[in-house]
Amino acid sequence: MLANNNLKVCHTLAKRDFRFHRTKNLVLILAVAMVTGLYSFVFLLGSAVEGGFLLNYQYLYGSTSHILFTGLTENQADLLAQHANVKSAVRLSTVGQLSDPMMGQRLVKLAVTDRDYAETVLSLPTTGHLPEKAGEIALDEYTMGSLGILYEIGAPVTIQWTDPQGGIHTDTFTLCGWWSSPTNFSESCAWITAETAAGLVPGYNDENAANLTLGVTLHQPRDLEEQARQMLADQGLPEVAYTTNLAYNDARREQAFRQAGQFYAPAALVLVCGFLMIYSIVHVTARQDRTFFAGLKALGMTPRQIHRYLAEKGCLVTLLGLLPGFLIGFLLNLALAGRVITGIENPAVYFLDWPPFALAAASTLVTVLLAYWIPTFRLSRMTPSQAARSNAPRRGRGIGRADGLITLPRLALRTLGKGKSRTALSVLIMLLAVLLLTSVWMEYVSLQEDVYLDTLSPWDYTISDGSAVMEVQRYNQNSRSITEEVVEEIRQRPEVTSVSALKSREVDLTASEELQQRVVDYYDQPYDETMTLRESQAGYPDWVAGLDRFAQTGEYTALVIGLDGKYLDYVLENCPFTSGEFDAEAFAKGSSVLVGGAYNDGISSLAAGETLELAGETFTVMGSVKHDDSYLSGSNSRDAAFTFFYILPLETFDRLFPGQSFRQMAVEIDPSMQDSFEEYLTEFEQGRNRGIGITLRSDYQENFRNARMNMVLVPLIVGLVLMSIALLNFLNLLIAKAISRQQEFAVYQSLGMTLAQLRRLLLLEGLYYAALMTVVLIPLTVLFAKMVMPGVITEFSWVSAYRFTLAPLWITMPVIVLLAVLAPLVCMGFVTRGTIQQRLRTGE
Amino acid sequence: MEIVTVRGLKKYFGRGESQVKALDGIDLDIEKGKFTAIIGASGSGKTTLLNMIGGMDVPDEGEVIVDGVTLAGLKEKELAVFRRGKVGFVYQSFNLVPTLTVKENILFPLSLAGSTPDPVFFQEIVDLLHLRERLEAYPRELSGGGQQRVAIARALIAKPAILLADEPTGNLDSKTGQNVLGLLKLSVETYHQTLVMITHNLELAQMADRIIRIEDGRIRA
Repeated sequence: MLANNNLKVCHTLAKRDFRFHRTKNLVLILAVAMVTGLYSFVFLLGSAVEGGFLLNYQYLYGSTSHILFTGLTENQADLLAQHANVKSAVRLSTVGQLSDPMMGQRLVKLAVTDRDYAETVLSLPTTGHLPEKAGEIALDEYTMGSLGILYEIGAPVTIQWTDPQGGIHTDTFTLCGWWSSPTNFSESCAWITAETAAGLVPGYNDENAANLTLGVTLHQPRDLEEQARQMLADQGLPEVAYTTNLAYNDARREQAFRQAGQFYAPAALVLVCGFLMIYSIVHVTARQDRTFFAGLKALGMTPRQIHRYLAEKGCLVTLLGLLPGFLIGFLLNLALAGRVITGIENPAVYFLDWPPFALAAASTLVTVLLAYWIPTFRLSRMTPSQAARSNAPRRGRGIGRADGLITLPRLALRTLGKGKSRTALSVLIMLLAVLLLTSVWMEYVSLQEDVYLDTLSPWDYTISDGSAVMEVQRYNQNSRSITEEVVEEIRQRPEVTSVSALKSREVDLTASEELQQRVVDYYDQPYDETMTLRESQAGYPDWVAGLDRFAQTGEYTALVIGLDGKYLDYVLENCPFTSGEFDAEAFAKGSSVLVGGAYNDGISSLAAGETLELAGETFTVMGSVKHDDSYLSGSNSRDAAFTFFYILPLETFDRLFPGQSFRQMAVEIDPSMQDSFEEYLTEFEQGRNRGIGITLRSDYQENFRNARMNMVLVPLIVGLVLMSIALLNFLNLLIAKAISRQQEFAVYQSLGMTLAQLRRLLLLEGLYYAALMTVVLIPLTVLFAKMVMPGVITEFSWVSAYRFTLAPLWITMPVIVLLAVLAPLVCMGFVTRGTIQQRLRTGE
Repeated sequence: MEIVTVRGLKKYFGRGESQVKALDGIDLDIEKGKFTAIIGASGSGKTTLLNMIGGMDVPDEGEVIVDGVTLAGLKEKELAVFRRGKVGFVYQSFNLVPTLTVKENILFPLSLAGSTPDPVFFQEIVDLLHLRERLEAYPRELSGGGQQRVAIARALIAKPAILLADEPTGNLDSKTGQNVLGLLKLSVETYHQTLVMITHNLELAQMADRIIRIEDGRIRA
């Protein structure tokens, strides 16, 4: 018996198939290239986004080193640097830490210049240079802003710093350079020379001085905690402190992967689209293929050989489609990654790596094999006769007239009943494409720019003091960045319609026993079934310490805020009153104050009618509010973590605290003059020699528009590709249906059908297909948009609001009708080419 | 000695009122080395019977034994191996693989099994069927008669126990048909094989050792 399964013959058959069906295989290769391109794009973009998050963690950690060992002696640093796991190492000699109260939550080391180390902590000056002479210092811009240092090379820098023994010193240096700070807070450095360091701390570089930080890069950046422990154990240094890079932390990596998930998710759509696209091409000649396979089976081809044959064909088209596909994916990523990932120049190249390509290749292969295998899976289990029978047309119910005569419309309707599965597939793909595009479009239009801007940028521009640009910065109330002159200059600009200003000052006060008791009781009330309000703030130790101080002594650090214009409007609109009400006239007089307490129900502060003494003056509390402080730039001191806000008119504030500069100002302009004003602001910012922060409304608009596009970008591309596939498939269906019936039409003509009748028949068939599409697409899309999308939109984003729209459907329908009408007519030329006799023979 | 034994063979297509009894209780023995012709009207069940004997289809009832192999219960893979080794098919529509050359088509059943062809036997067949000059041609480059000669060569190459031919001359003009059938008969006689052939042509059927007439799924003579 010839019982062996020779698989080589499958290779020969697959290879020959390529030679004999060049056009079909070329189309397949193009389809595979498109699928590979989409997979590559999705995986490259997802990988770049994931990389972006990891880079962000790296910035957060503040160093590109994998592990930082701190408090080392020179000998210990040598031992660790020599460990087999270490690829390279950099060192830092720390003299102390900047301890000026104005530094806020940021920790900045006073350290000896080391260019290699500076590179790993992204702290090389972009203006000026690293210290070269005694007394020079280089700082980051946030530190300069917090300390109110002039942006001038040679400017004096007086800083307070603490040595390792806890000794506090104040020294003056000369500024030699600065750099724009990355978003790191743990590894910021203020660079000085070794000579300066020796002057500040004699013997800082002694062999036994434990002031070295060693940053190591490992050969294998995995299990950093485990490796750090192992290295310390191996070198006999179990007590040494260390931190591991967040970007290599398993939990962070998982988090980055989850955050990039929405960019990877469309791969599932690509699988469906790719399968449908390749399936529709592979099986365009399904009828002939079934006959072919029935013949092969009759000759003794086993199911395994059929699978192998198809697998080889699939592998071949995949192999040939990969390279162009990779290129398509890369180019798509190159064009779009920059929109998604900001802050890095050319992220598509920066994060370029091979795994996304490998994954795309594997996914494409799976998609192609599914498209080849699934339809033939049943076929391979059939006997040759069963396979051949599956080709036989099924007998449908007659829809002819009772007298047996048939009209052209009825004849056309009969055609609709032929090849139902292929028609159903075409309708299904179209439906999927329309639903996907409808959902993407509805998501896009649901995102409300107004809501976003009103929440995040209630006014056009915020100009804040250099010490209050970031939330982690403590506002330096002695800073002189925004003076009366600056406000006046802005106010005088022709583009400006209003300027609102805000000043703040921390004031130590003592509460009455009554207020003390009220507030303590307030925070002891239940927050929920498990904890009190006070306990709910356990994550904020400074706040808890402040409340404890208040409970024990009645002392607290209040924040007095002087404001006008938009800032006052913001408070009145966003901070609900818990007692009293706003009286504009009384407030303007300057003898009343608004009190801001916790953003919870109930009175957690002084209440309406009570009095308060500020800078020697007595004020009546006009009302108390649940205070939303998100309009304040920067943060306050740790002492003011627990505080009460006393809000006054700006003039009153100036009377109480004369000479203080502004913390921030809100500027509104004539929208038509936005460009010229932003040009002015750029020059204004560059011309200042003190740090200021400018937040543009257009930045928020741009952020919103970018984010909105990013949220729908990938599904939109996939949806558009799926729609192209659906339309091509529909066109293919119409053309194949017309052309494959060349002999049938010859029969009709031989029986007396005129060309006009034939044209009408084809036109009617096309219209029936269009009608079928309409009957399926419109109700299902309306149902989808009405029933499914409201829930999706609700979950989509905090700025989304449901809006009913069927724009993709209304754009698609005319295209479908146009194709349905035009395609059969275009085929007429081919279908009627040659004599009737010639065409009748063609079918034999 | 019987090479094919068929007992109580039934095959139905469709269900309910539209059910067609293609074979309605066939009992048949075919003697080894003989040429049997099956005749009957269209739809009488000739092709269905041939398919059952060739393991191309499975019966609803009854038993088919070919060269000692009982086909009932064989899986598709086993049936494929059975067809490959025991049966040679010749079809009206030739069923050649268009992407393979004449030589490759002839050797295809052996290729599927990974077997080495007997070069002497191959040459004999090629000469017998006048294909020596066209071995590197593709099927589309041959006439209908030429393609059917390739199909006969392919059916013979694995030295099957039985040759099944379904209207082998149906797509050929009468002269070519006569020639092809002559070659088929010559081949069968040369290699002492059993031939079962379906035909509508009574004149061709007269060349057989035995004629079986089928009507409405039953044997009438």
